[in-house]
Amino acid sequence: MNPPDRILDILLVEDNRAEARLVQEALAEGELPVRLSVVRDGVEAMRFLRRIGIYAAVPEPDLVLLDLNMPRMDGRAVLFEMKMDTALQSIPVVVLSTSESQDDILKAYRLDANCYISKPVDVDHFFRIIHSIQSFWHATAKLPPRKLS
Amino acid sequence: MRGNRFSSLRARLLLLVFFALLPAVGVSLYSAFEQRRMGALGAEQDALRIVRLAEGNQERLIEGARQLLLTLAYLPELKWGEPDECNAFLSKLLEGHRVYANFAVTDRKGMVFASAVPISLPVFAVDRAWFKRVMETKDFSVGDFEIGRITKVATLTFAHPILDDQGQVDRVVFASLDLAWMNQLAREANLPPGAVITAIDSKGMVLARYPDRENFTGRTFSETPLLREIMKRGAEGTAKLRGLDGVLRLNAFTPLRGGSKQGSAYVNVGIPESVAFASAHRMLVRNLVVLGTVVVFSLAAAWIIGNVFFMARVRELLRATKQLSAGDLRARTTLDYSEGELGQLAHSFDEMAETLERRSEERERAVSALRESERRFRDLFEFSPDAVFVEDFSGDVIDVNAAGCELHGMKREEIVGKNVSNLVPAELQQEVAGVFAQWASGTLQTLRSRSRRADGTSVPVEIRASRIDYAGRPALLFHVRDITERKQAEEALRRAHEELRHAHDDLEQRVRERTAALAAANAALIASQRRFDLVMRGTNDGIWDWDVGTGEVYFSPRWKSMIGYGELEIGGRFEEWEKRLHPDERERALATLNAYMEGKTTTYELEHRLQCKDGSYRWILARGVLLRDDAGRPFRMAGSHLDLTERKRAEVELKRYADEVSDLYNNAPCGYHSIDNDGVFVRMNDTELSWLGYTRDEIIGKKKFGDLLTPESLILHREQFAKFKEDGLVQDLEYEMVRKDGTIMPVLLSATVLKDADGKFLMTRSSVFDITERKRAEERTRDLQNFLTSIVENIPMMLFVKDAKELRFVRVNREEETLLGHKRADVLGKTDFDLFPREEAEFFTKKDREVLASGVLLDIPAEPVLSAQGLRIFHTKKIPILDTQGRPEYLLGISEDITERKRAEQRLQVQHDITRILSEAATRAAATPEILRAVCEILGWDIGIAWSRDLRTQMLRSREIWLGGHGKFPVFVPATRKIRFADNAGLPGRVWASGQPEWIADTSAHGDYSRAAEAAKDGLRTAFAFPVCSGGEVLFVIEMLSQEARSSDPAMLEMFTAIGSQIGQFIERKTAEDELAKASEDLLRSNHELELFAYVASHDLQEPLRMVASYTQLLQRRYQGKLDATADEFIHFAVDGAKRMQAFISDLLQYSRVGTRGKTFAPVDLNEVARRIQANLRIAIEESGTQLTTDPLPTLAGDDLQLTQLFQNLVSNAIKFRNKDQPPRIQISARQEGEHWQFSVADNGIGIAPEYFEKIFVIFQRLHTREEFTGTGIGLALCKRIVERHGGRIWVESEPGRGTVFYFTIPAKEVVPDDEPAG
Repeated sequence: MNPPDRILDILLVEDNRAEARLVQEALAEGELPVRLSVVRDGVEAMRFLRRIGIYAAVPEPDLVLLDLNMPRMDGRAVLFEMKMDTALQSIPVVVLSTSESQDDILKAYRLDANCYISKPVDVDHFFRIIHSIQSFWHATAKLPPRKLS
Repeated sequence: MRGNRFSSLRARLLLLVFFALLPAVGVSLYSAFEQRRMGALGAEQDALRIVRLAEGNQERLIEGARQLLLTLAYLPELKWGEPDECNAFLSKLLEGHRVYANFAVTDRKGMVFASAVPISLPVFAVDRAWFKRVMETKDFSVGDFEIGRITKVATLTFAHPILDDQGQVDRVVFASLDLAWMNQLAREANLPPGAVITAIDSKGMVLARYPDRENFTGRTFSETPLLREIMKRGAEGTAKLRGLDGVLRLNAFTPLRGGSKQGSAYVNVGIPESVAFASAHRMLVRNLVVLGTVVVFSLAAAWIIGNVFFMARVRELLRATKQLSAGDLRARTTLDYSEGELGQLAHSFDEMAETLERRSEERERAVSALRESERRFRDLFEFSPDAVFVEDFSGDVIDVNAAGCELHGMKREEIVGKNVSNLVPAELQQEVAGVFAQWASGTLQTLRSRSRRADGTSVPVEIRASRIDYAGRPALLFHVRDITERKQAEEALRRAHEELRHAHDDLEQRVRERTAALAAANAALIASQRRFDLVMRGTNDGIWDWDVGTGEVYFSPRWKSMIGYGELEIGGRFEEWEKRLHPDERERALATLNAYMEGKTTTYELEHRLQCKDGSYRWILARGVLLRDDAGRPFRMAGSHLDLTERKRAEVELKRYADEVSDLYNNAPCGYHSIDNDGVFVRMNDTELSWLGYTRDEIIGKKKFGDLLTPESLILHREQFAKFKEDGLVQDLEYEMVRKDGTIMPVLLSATVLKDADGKFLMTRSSVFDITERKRAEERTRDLQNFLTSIVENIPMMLFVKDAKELRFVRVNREEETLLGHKRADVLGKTDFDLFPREEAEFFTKKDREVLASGVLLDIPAEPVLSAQGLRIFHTKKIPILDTQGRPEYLLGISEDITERKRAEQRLQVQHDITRILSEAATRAAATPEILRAVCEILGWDIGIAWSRDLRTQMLRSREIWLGGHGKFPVFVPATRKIRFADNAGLPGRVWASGQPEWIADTSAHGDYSRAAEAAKDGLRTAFAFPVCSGGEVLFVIEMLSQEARSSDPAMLEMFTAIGSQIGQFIERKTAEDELAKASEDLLRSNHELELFAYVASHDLQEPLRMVASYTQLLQRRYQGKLDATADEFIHFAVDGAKRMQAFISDLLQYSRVGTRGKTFAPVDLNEVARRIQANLRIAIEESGTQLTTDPLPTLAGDDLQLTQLFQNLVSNAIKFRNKDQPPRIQISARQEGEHWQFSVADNGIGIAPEYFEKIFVIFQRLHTREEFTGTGIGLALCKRIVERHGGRIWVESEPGRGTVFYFTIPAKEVVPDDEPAG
């Protein structure tokens, strides 16, 4: 259990704004406090995580929700870089993708994704899943200790 | 060596050397002159080089001056400076520029106010050319060559204005160039001695000279030849001129660039000719000296060499020759052979001399040998013991030897020169001429005759003749030998022989007499013997005498000795006999005795055995007579004993013998019988009885021989029997006897007649052999013969047999008659030469002889034979047939007509090649030349042409021409290329129009062959064209030509028609195949593209659709019930539509993934698959109460995910379409059907009407509304795709309301998925 007053910092990496918004809406409907940051592609994500440029002051996210197919640098590359980087490898990554391909799933886990979630077609179902992610990482899972920033 | 001096060899040698050296003199002189010319040219070039250098220098100096003066003009010292200042500056400047004579400055009026060279008087330069020019041009100017007013030397002046601020000429600075630089130049140019370099102006004033400058400078030498030459040319040039000092020089000159005009001054370089030619002269002198020396030495050497190496040898040769000509054959040169032609000449001479000497010796030897031989012959002739005569062909004696004279007792003179008729006895005179002709012709070589002697007597002689050459004439050599003694010896021998024969005959006679006497004696002896035997017999009986009353018996000594006893060893009692009876016979013996004594028998004779002393028994014949008293009582009985033992033994022997004879008779392997005079059987042996199946009783005395014969044989028998009885003998008559059972037995009968002592016929003695087997064997042989004959006759190969000796046909079969068109009767006994053209016959005979010589089979795989059906190809095997000694006896030939096969092979090869060509060729056009080549090469034509119609002109033209390897056909081919044919015109046109092949055996004779003349020129004889058709349409016409005259035959035409249509078919098929392949490829690609499209489309559609669906749902979620009812309804429709579309897209994606995203096949345990779907569908199964049963399922190669989906779709379909009123029952089964597994999924659901059996497998086809059953209609389409990808098929059997069974098959063995490349 994390402290109840802890606000979960989530970084959503998603190029589709509508998708991002849907996640945002879903999280907003959730009961637990969440701070959501959205970046549009892998390059931005890495800059965010490494706090480069405009991201100099952002907090380190507790959780990364990662889309796979993105322009410039895709989710798999992000995953690879994060897991190779000792400073970032401890941040849990949930892959959130429309793909149900066995290949994609296997590859994500091989790259040490913490979880692979296939986005369901039905919105209610999708919302439920987002809520469960929210509650799982907020209330169930023990997150790594926050670094001093 | 005498005579003309020049004709001597030495003189000629010297002349030769002299003439040999002459060109060298010429060359030396020529080279000296050439050298001289080159020297002059070199000097000229040198001079020119120097003048050019001078000119170049001049220009460089002018440029230097311009630069210098330009600088000076801007110097403030000179611009504004006072004269002193300027002077100082200029003189300092002059020190640094020694090439100048002076630097000076004038004012604008031309007055020199400053000068490097001090001036005492005012000097004006206003009239100088350079000054005028400067004032005029306000620029750098060059003056003329002149003598300086200040410097007093020849100078060239350069000037440059010094301008004031207004640009006007204020002052002029000038520099005088001292022409003394030319000295410098001359030194640098390394002038040859005596050379002169001069600068002169156009008036002839010497401006500068080197050397001897002082004497010449400033002086004018007008009107010199040099000046004239220079002025004439006006430009660079050379000239050879004599100078003022009288020296001839080579001059080179060029104008120097001065100020006002070109050519104001010239520089000239003169090089004395003597200098230029010095080296050439030196060389000429040297060459001539050397040459002279060489000539002298050469001539001297030639003299010495001629003497030493040449003359001496020639003299030696001459000497030897003279010696030889004088007749001394031992003459030899004493020269060494090894060196050169003279050596060889000497060698040849010596060889010649030696040969001559050897020849002469040989001839002498031959002459002496001849003489010796003649002498020997003469001796031989003379002292021959035989008389030897030499006579000419008319019989005149040419020579005779001593023996000859002796023979005739005449002198040589009496014989020689006389005719031979003198030498024969008078009685033979008549025959002499005839005999002599035979001698002369050589038909007679030896003869026995007689020779006449002078005393009128004659002697027997043996004459032997041979033809000889006598003194160059043909003559006869006779050896005549006196054979009087031999004749006498022969006579003696003959008489001795005669006597011997007489003696022999006498002896024979005496032997015969003696033999007769002996026979008589013998007969007497035999008679005496017989008598003696009888006596002996009498004395041989034992006697007994029995007193019946007393029982006393007298036994004679013989009686006792007969059974081995002595006189005293046996007593006188009856018991002595009785006790010795054989136990087996005792009773019979006593009974016989009693019977006689009692009067029951009239005689007493008893054969019985008595025991001997040694215990053995002997057979005894006892005979006796009983004496009775008056009362009739027996009182005495006496008799004899005869020893029967030997007789008994003989009897036994006889019986055994008779038995054996009877056995032999009866059991002989042949039949024996005898018939009497009437033909009735008297006897017959068992063998014959058993053959005939009768018993003896049925035959003997009852049947006649004729009764047992077939009617045919009976006739023969009747004919034969009477004669037989006369002749007494028949042999090997063939009869057919009839057995008792009616079957017929062929026999061979031989018989002899038995006659009685009076010669009357008693009976026959006949032996009968059963020849059934022989007959059968004969029949078999005949059958076999017929069988073999029918094989030989009917075999579809030509058979012939020739005798090995003369190779005449001894046997042929029907096929031979048919093939060669000969009647059998015309062939037998003939040779090949009687039947075939000479060439063929020679070939056949050669082969035949080879076979017979080698003794092994010869195979001739293909020989052309002119048969009744034209030229045919035979495959012939020739086999030698050997006799028992292994010598060839016959030659068997087997020929098979393989023409058709050859043709078929050719056709096959053509077909094969064409198929290959068409399959390899990209287009028909590319294939055409190859087809031509294949057809012509295989069938042996020289040219092949493909004709086809030109689309534009509608005329036929040649498209391709193929030429055979050996011909160019320079006339015919261009004509063919040029010619065009309308339909039905010319050979190609006719064939095109008719679609039929046409054969022109001889183009020149045909009359309707338009290129006949061209063909004839290229030696082409036969033309042939056939169409290549496809679907009744002529694609092209192939025309072929051959230099060989070929006659067509229907088979060949047929073959070409077939080939033509085959090519057409191939082309058609090929075209169709290509099209099909292309269509199939297109289809595959299009299919694949469609699949990809479906995949991409569905994949890419998903994303935006997801957004539409998600947000309409979100709308619904957030605003349901918050707006009005219409809004709610609209939102509902949007959400529903989006969801359905998502479902479609998702299904479509899944459907397209079957092909594009399938996994490679691996073994799949379908039982595991069944368990998995049971788990996947657990909820549906439980909710519906489904009873799902699964039979054991196989393991197959496949895509496990797809197979799972397949089963799952079918099962979930079954659950979905269940009957409302009963729980679903689903049965999954599998069974192997051949190479497939057939699976079935059966349910008891609502069923499907038959008209939908096909439709249900089409994607998005639904049979029910969404309200009834949810779903997109993808499920079964997906199943179909999965099954098809696995290489199987799927179908349905159903009855509405009763249930449905889905069947599908999957191959039992592994298949490669059909979309492998895409997967």
